[in-house]
Amino acid sequence: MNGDIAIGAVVGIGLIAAMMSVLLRQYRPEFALLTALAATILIFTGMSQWLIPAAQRVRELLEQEPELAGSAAILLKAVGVCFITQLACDLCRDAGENAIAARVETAGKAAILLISLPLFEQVLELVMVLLR
Amino acid sequence: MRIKNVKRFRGLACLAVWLALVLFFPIGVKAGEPEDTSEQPLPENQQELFSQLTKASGADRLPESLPEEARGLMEEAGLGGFSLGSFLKSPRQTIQMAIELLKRQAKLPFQALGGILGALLLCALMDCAAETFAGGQLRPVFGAAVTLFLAASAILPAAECIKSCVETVEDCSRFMVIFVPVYASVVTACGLPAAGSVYHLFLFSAAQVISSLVSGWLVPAAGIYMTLNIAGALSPQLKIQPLLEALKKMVCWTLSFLLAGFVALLTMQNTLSSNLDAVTLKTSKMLVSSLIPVVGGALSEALSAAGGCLRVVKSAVGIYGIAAAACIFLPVFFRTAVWYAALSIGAAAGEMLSVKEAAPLLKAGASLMGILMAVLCLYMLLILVSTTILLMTGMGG
Repeated sequence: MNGDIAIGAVVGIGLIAAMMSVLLRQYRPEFALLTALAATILIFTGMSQWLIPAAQRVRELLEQEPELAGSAAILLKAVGVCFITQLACDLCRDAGENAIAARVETAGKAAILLISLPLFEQVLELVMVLLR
Repeated sequence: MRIKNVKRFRGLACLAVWLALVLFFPIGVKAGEPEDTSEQPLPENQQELFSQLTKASGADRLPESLPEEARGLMEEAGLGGFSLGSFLKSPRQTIQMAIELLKRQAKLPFQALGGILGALLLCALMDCAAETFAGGQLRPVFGAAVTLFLAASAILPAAECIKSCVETVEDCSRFMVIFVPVYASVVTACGLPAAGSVYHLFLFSAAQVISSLVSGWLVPAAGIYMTLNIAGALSPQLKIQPLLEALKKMVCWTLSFLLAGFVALLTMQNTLSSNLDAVTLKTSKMLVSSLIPVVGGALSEALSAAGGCLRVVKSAVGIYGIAAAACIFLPVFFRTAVWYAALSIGAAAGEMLSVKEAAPLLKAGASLMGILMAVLCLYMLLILVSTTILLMTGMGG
């Protein structure tokens, strides 16, 4: 029941924000972007009460292997970076700024690669042990 | 008429009372327990003789040459010391011990499987919400991060199992250096000199070949195989899967050919040597009984009796060798088998969740575990088959 109410609220917020955005775009396009951003933040805050237990459970599963417990945090950070990057890219595209969206996407990819660097070093060390 | 009815009623009442007593107050009965002679299967004077013969042959020093883990297992199985009674344990105890060993080895692999399944779930979630999380652009980069995590999950056990496999083969070779001469000398003393020398030569050569195969060829090949698999998983455009499949098939064919060759050679040599030994023994008995006057016949019978006594020692030493080989190999074999199961389940889960980075990498890890199991089986079977053939040889004589 709680899930049904929550999804109803999310859908309601999304539809209202979309209508407001369409209306505001005719008079003040900058406020349309702010409306979209506010609705996104509101919906994500509502979703977090579902996502946090699931993320906790996935983290517990990932940390089962004691040697790779640190790597689990890297994967979850990468998921977070993906989400934030995609959100920013979508908002930029909605505002008609495709170039900025593409640069944000590139920055997101670089951030994920940087976060994964410790994983890469760990795999390289293990490969050297194998080959020796 | 009335008296007849009373008699019939009395009869029915007695039957009813008897039935009630039998149904409601049953008396339990059971078969008697057989006498337990497992601790001392032989009479005392023969037990003393058995101990003296094992001491003289050097078989009592065999437990000291075992590695720590195998010695612990032998003690758990009640085979810590060298006594005839310890070989007469029930199969149920052996099976229970094997199950406990399997449970101990299964803990870490299935913990790692939890981590692998967690990574696969994350990937599958990302795929389901592709429009939200990636729109197709960020997914490949995230996929690379997941591949690195899975590579670390697959390489770690591979490295551990390769190391354990090499250590086990070395431990077993060290045990064979002590066991083979002792057993060969006991077999020779039983009147089977040809069989003893064939066994000595064969098993030493086999141990040498397998040791050099494992350290000089298997370990580097396994490392290269896993490294190429990781490279293939990180860069799918490389398409090195067919090469790796061919490498794996080559290894499997080589191992099968080696095993078939060794067993064929051993069977042929044993058949020839056992016939030679039978002829030698019969000729010696005939010469003793015909050439030595008066006591020739008695001496010939005494030879047979001595041979019978030594055959008990031969059986005991042979069975100890087989049990020791099993205790050396089984922990590592079970550990590798459970890793094989865990990585195969991970690969199947990856295919079910359509995570394309996962399945080839985890399948490669599982294949490597399979190859290690095959090598361990090869060495274990060589020892078991050759010792068993020699155990059976000369039983009728």
